[in-house]
Amino acid sequence: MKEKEVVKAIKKHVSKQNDGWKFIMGREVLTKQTFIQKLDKDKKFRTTVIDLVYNLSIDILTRKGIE
Amino acid sequence: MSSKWVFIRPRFEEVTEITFEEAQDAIDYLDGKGEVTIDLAVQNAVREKVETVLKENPDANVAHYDHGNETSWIGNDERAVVDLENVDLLMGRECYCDNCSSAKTLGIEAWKRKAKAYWGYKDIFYFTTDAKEEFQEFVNNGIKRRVDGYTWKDCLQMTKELATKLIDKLVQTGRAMAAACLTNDRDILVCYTEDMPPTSDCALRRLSIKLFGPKVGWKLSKAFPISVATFFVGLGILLHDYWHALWQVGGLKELLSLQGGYFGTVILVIGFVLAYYQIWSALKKSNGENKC
Repeated sequence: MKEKEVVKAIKKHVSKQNDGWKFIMGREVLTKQTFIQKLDKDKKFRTTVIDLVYNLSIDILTRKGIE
Repeated sequence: MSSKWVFIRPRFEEVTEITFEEAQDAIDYLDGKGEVTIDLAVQNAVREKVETVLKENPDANVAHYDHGNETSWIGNDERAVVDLENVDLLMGRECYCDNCSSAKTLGIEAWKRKAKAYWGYKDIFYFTTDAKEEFQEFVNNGIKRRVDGYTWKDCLQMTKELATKLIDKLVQTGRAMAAACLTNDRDILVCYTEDMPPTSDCALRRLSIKLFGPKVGWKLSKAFPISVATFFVGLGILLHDYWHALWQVGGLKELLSLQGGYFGTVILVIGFVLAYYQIWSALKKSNGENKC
């Protein structure tokens, strides 16, 4: 799956959340809107979020998460 | 097993509102189990107060719920309450952290200074507000199982297993981003104890841990391999020149005959090994502070 398609899927998922939905990354708090904006503009953030999604997928596929 | 726990829980912005409540859940559980809890909340969660209370309670374990970074736990005034300057305060204690990244450096320093346990995250903690309950259950599972009487090793395993169950639940209930965050948080969760020493991403550090064991391996600085390499390179150059001079004087016969210089070299190497053995023994006993 291309990166663009993953980002599109993430955006679709987040936009379906209720208005109070927030993503917290250490000290940074992102609302639905700011999350999607940052996903478009901030390459480092986009990579981080894509990595999170990839890692979840790999975890579900392999179930090697427990050390 | 009854113990005393000092809880440090600032509350000064949105994220700390959540960690404050998570700490309350842990405190309620510990109180219900008959544990003694000392609550350093909000304005009491500042460096001076924390240092005083920890010094007055050398037998107490300590939990921190708030922001953190690689080298410190943050207090209510956004200054560090514990950092590399006062990490000695954690000696002999069980430390439980619900903060970002502190296990990466501070946790290792605490472990090197004989903290009995350091529970924490070695990178940034992510979460989403649609799964507050699940994240709270995850972050508090370790301390709850500990007061239930489990070993830290069991607590870690049980918490990682719980996280996996929660991840499945979040996926099934359409909260995939929360599941992705929790996968990250589960994977960066660590616990350092005497039986579970920290691991390193640094190849030299990993080699020194493999060669000398975690107690010594974590205390060696970068200067150690440099000093060993410098000694043997210098010795090699010296021997090369010495052999060259012997060859010029008498050829192979002179080279193979018993020379005073050979005894000198052997004595030099023995002295070097003995000196390093002393250093190694001292490091094994001490609370060193070198890092890679």
